[in-house]
Amino acid sequence: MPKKLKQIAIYGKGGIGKSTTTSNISAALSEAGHKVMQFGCDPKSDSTNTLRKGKYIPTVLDTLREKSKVDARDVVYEGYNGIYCVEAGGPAPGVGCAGRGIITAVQLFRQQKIFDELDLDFVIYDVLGDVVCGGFAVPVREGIAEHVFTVSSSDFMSIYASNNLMKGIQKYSNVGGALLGGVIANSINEGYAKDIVDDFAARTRTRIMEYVPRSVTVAQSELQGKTTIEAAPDSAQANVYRRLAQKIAEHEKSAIPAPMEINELREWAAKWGNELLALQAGVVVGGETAGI
Amino acid sequence: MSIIERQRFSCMLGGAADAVAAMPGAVPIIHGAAGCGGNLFMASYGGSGYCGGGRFGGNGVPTSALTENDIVFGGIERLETRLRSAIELLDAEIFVVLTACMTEIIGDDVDGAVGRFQGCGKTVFAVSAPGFAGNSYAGYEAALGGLFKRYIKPSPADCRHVNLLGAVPFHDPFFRGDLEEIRRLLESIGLTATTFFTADQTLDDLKKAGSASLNIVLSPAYGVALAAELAESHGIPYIVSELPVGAEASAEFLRKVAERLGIEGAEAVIAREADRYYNYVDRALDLIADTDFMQQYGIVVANANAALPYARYMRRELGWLPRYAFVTDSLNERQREAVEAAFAEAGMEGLALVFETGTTAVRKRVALDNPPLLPERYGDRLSPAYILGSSMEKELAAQLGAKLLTASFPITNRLVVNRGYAGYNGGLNLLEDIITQFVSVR
Ligand SMILES: Nc1ncnc2c1ncn2[C@@H]1O[C@H](COP(=O)(O)OP(=O)(O)OP(=O)(O)O)[C@@H](O)[C@H]1O
Ligand SMILES: [Mg+2]
Repeated sequence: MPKKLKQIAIYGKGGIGKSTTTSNISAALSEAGHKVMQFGCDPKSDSTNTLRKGKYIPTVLDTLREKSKVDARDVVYEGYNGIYCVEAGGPAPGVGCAGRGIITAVQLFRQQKIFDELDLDFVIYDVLGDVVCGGFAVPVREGIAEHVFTVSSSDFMSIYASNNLMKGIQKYSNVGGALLGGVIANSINEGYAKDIVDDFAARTRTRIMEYVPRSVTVAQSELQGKTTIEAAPDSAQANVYRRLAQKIAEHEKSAIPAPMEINELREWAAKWGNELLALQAGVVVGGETAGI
Repeated sequence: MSIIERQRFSCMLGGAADAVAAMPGAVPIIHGAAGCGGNLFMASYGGSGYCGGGRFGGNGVPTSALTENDIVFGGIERLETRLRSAIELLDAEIFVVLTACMTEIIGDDVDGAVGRFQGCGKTVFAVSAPGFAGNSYAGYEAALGGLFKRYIKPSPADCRHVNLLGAVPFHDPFFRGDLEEIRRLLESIGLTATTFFTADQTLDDLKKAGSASLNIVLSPAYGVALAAELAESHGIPYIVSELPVGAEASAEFLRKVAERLGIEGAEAVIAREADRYYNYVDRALDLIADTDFMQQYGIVVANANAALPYARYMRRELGWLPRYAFVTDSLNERQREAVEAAFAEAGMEGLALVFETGTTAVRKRVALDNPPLLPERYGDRLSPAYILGSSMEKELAAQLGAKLLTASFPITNRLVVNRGYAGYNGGLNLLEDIITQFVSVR
């Protein structure tokens, strides 16, 4: 029986840690024996840097700009542990249409059936932070990725972005779009941060895949142009990423999330704002009822 | 929500390209995909009585013909290449870049690109004309507005010169004949006029538009906003006038213009024109009065420019009973109110003014108001009826057993060269064409 290719898309607010997390997931999956491709859908084209010693690779669109017809094989570069790295790339900032560029790049790969040819187990799309137009929604539409994971910290703006993503998923869900696998909680150190993302997941009827702490190991690895898995394989952080990767590998059933309406979201955030303030002032939550 | 089926206009780009191509010495250059120019031309060409594209219009419009890569990386380079070769190869003076939908969506810096052609000895400028921003009529205004902004300089007013705005190339299929006749009338009272779009126009005529002492807008809807802008930018005041069709309307038109510009002697011209006009009508009366097509119910289906002129012509020149005027354009509130006001002022009792963009809806409306009577019953029937409409009114004509003269866009069953229905000569033409429908079967 031919094995089934699993296509995954990672979304989340700009700068929240998508590329870092994705690269570590790719590294961990590859370590576990899977054949993985990481597909950067971002004109910055820095998604796969830590898989390739910090080096940029020629992008699909760079190549397309040079010659009118591109063989997809020419833009696949091998990275750490044989991971296939692809960067969609894009136009120079301020000209052209980056969204259309993503569509073009993704279609090129689909048409040339590269995934079958490389006998992949996983394709992970790392999509840029702010999904500013339809082009960046392509991985969740048209049945390209089946599972979407959103990376979010406990910051309101990050949660807001994840909630928006859920709206997009909900919208495309009845026309064969990808469904939500869950939230990857990133930079979760303090206890309340975990409470916030937990509450958000509960409200939107989704789940937290893993709590990834903020750690200097990540930064140190990045400075060497490596993932944490590669640079600090024995660190606790690397194990967190391995656990996350395993959960993603085992993940089967994604679902339609229940994003909050904007007013609901504001109220929800305001409630948490008050609680955090109280926390800072030393008031114990629930203290009143407990008679403290 | 209402739907528009078989609409009678294309998009802003189409209107702008048609207008530029109809100007003397001007070349439209479409910055968009290869299909836009050709497809839009087929729509306007096929519907305007086969008014061709001319030297630089229609299927001959240069285009940057963008493909996928130009969209992803920006299409400016291709535009510049195309513009450079157009300037080199085409014997023209004015090059107007028109942006299509996709280049507007990706935000190509077209003004920056055309800026690099300043000093090349030609006039080069860009007009934003994405199809999603409006229909052909908006394109007409944008193109003419661009010409005023970038080519026609404000000059000291010549109290004898006027401009004619509001007649929309192609979508007013008789625009050439109409404009020529209106200019003839104006010349007969001692004026000169820039028409922008007739065959005789030169670059000097365009330049002279900047010294006009009056803009005459021959439309309640189109060119009015532009005229208001030009009052500011070029200091040219304007009047809005119905397109005069027939002797009575033409006399009113001449009086209105003469009064506005303080011109004496209009009455003598009017008397002379009327004499000639009715002398001809007189000869036709033997046919008209003798036969049973003397009086008809009238139905007009036309754009905002022609609906009232045609309805009034039926009533005042033919003595018929116009029952409906369907205005088939998609109008904004200001335009719609202006059309309503013009009808109200004309006092068209017994006539229903209906704004309807859909072709089947026009038919439904008439059918709903006029259900077929049982054979044994007597009552009011909309019969005999005569339609001044487009080729899309064939079904309505069949439904009513009515005669149809195609006089509004789209006209597919006649070739229109310089025929016009405006003025005295146009009124005679219209008489000829309307009555010919009755006898053409003989
Ligand atoms: N768990 C973490 N611990 C420490 N640093 C982290 C962690 N996650 C991400 N970072 C750091 O945050 C910065 C931004 O991360 P990254 O580039 O992965 O974000 P991104 O979401 O891909 O951004 P963009 O939207 O711009 O593509 C990087 O310098 C990364 O090292
Ligand atoms: Mg990134």
